[in-house]
Amino acid sequence: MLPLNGLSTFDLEQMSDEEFWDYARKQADASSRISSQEKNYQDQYLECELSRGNCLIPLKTIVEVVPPPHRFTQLPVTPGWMRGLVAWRGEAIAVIDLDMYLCGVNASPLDGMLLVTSHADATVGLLVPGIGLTTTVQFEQMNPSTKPSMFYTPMRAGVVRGVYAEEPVLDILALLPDVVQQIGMAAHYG
Amino acid sequence: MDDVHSFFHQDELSDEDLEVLRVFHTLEEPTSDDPLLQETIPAASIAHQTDTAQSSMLLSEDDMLVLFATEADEDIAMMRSALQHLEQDDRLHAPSLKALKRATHKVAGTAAAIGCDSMSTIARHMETVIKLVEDGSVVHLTGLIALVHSVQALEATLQSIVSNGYESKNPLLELEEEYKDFNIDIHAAQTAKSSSPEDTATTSTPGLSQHLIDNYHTSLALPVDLQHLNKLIEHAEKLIELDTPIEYAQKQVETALDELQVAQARLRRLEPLLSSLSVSSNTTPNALIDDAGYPPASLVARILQEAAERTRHIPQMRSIAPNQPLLIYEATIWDEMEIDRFSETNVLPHSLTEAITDVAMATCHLRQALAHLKFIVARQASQASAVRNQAYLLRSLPFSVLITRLKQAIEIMVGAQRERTQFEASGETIEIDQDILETITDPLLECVQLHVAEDLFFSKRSEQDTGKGSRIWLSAHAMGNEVTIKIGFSQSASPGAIAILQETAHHLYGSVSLQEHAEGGITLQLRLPRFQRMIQGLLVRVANQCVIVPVLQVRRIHYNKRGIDKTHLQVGDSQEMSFVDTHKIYHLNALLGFFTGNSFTERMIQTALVLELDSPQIAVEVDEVLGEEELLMKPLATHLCRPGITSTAIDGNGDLLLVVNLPEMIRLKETHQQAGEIVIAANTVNKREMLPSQSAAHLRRKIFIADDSVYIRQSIAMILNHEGYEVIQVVDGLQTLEQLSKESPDLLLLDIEMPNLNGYDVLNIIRTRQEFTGLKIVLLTSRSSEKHKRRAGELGAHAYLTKPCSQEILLETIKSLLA
Repeated sequence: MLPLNGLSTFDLEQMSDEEFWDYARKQADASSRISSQEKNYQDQYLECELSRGNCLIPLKTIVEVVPPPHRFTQLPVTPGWMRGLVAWRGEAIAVIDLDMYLCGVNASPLDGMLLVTSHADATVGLLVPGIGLTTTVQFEQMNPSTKPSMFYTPMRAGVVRGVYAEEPVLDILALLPDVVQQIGMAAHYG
Repeated sequence: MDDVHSFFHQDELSDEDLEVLRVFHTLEEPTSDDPLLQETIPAASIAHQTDTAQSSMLLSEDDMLVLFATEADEDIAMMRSALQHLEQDDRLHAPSLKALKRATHKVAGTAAAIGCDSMSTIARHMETVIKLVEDGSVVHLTGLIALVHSVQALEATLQSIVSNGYESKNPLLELEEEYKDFNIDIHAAQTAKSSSPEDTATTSTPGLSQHLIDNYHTSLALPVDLQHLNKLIEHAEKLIELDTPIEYAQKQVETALDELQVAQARLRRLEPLLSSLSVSSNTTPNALIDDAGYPPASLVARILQEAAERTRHIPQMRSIAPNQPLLIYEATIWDEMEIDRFSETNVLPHSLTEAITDVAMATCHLRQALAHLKFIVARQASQASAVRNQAYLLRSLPFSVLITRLKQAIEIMVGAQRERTQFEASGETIEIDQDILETITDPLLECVQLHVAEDLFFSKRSEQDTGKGSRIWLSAHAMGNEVTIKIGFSQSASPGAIAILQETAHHLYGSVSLQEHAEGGITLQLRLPRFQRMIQGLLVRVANQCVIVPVLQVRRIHYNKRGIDKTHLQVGDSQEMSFVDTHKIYHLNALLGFFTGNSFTERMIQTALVLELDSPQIAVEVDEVLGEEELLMKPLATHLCRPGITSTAIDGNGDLLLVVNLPEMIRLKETHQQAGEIVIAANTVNKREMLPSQSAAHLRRKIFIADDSVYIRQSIAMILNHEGYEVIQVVDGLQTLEQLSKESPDLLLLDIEMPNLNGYDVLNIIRTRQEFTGLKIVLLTSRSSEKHKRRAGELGAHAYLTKPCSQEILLETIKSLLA
């Protein structure tokens, strides 16, 4: 049942047919706008502050945004960009310094934000200095990241989906497996 | 001597008879023209060690050949006996099969060493056939017949050596033809076998083991839906996990309360200040008190003023002394009747006082509520813990299940000779997690199988003749979340048992220790958690991180209150000095790979965990032991697992703690170190000439030869004696360990396949004992696969030589290691 938006049934009864159908049309438009907003959620991205600018992370891959703990549990033999482990919902997850991972710069302070991202079986915490607003970006609006960028090293080009408003859009579905693989490999090769 | 041979057929002569004849003959005519010698010594091509210098050694080549023939004959007899056992059953009889495998392996190695290629090949063929039978590639009965024919071929070949002085190839060729009749493509199978990973001596026999495990599973069937049970456990764990956020929230409330109290105290401090301010404001602005004598903001004044404006009548006010300020105490004593005496500035301190009182009361109520909440939360936690433990108990089974399985297995294995093996058990009612029981069943069965094989086929004939049986005992004892399982063998130790149990125990965050009995036999003690995922751990600090060390892995905690610097030890510090000297000490930080600073010998050792290993002499230094906690282990995702770290736990503050498996970490660290150090000689040592000075230096260096083959021992002893080394021979693993403790050899030549603890077991024990640190170990075995070489390296062997090994390579390897 549609909300009456402050109108009582009495008000509806008082309406002429024309007024009633106008009102009904408006309500129907509003309803369709809500569904399209929900659809747009798939295209929403969270702006994250990095030392060399901002980047965009798809909202659908972020499970939770939490302040990072005061201390990370250190795990032996890990890549330099892995800050350590934290307990999240009773499980141990790796925390990645996104700045360091992308461009080799160790700039994320401990008082940044921790974005818990998940895809398939992999759950990883991305530590960023700060977060901004969410933005809706259609795939068509993205430009391919052909030029070298100071935001990320060429080695990380595979985890950048494109560029929108000069901000790299990260492909978390590519980033998480890469992170997981490199952490796993570090155990064998140091 | 011809006469003698005409009277006695070779087959009728016992080993002792042959030996007596040989000695008599040597006394009479010590020449190489002797017919007996011609008969017993194979052609020159057979013997590979023909150094002229050796002719003057203790034993001549014919002596060696007699030894070989005697030993081979015994081994063949053992094969026959094992085959008889196998024939009685339509399934693979594990101990018999193990005995057969060991005997064939021994003959293959020894025959190759003496140059009897046909015998060695037949024995290798037998190993292949056994493998095919185990794999199921060859039907059990067909395999048995092929093995019986193989034994006959071995006998015939040995006979040809003894009778004709050379090795006949006919039995081998005939055997290979027979294999074809049985549809066994022996060469193809051998090619496949060499390309596939070789089984170790510790591999379990799938037939019997699987059979038992099948039964085991049947009896383990729960009367509840396992899925529901697992869900229940999951929910119970989640319920307990809620403790962490609740405790965290409680702490936050406590912190907020403390802050509230601080704020309250500050307000109290402000109270007199505000009152004094209100006094001064009452006294100073006299002008504010209007002509009528009321303060302008006074309610009474306002009412009167409004009335005057309405009626234009100025009332006659009673006079109030204008300079009569309210005293502080007056401002705080509120009297409604005196309301007209109070201004709004007087009301403020009063309201503040009231507010402070209200806050104080609210704080008090909050504290009471928090205390009550704490009590309820503690009850809830205890109740949740009880639910979880009860849920775990649903997954547990009494130890009697395992006892029954082992008893059945022993009965099947010993068969008709049941009275020879006595089985005793205790601790039937101890409840253990099913998963843990399942995990330990196979290894324990394996140990028992090895022991029974050892007892039935390899124990001394004299013991068998006297009817002296063997005893196996099994017991369980539980304390908290820990269970101690002891398995003991009265007469011999199962070869490979330690390695088998060690691997299992480490996998379960437990430990294994070995106890040797003066009257013979050993007891293996496993300390394991009773329930999987629950762990009693020591909370240990290293640098700025806390980790959990399972209590089961720690024998004791060594504290040094003063902090001893080894380089400045004084008289009276002997105990500490002794600890440093007698323990191999690791630092947990270094094991974790976080920090590699000064070695422990250069620093003060404050706190160390003495590990519960085969030997008590390994300690791990930590910065601090903070306490003991029972925690729920969470397995780490695969990519986060590290050597010795596969689980984590979450403490009351919500912090993540690594659960470290110390024995595993040490094992892997040593492996890593030794991987770079091991010399896999692989028969490729440079053939350098030894300098005279070197020759003098190695004089009287003591070498142990541990091999169950008399022939191998004697031939090596001969070579080493000639080179001036002092040689001590031992026949099995247990004797090796016993003698190692008494003597101090410089080098150990170690075989892998041996009774009473195999070569790997010996290595496993040696590497944990500090007193053997300087001992050089050379594995001398017929196992040639890379897998074995790698494993030997991991366990601390310094060199690996494959039988048959040339004299030059053997000596070169020894010299290079002792240089």
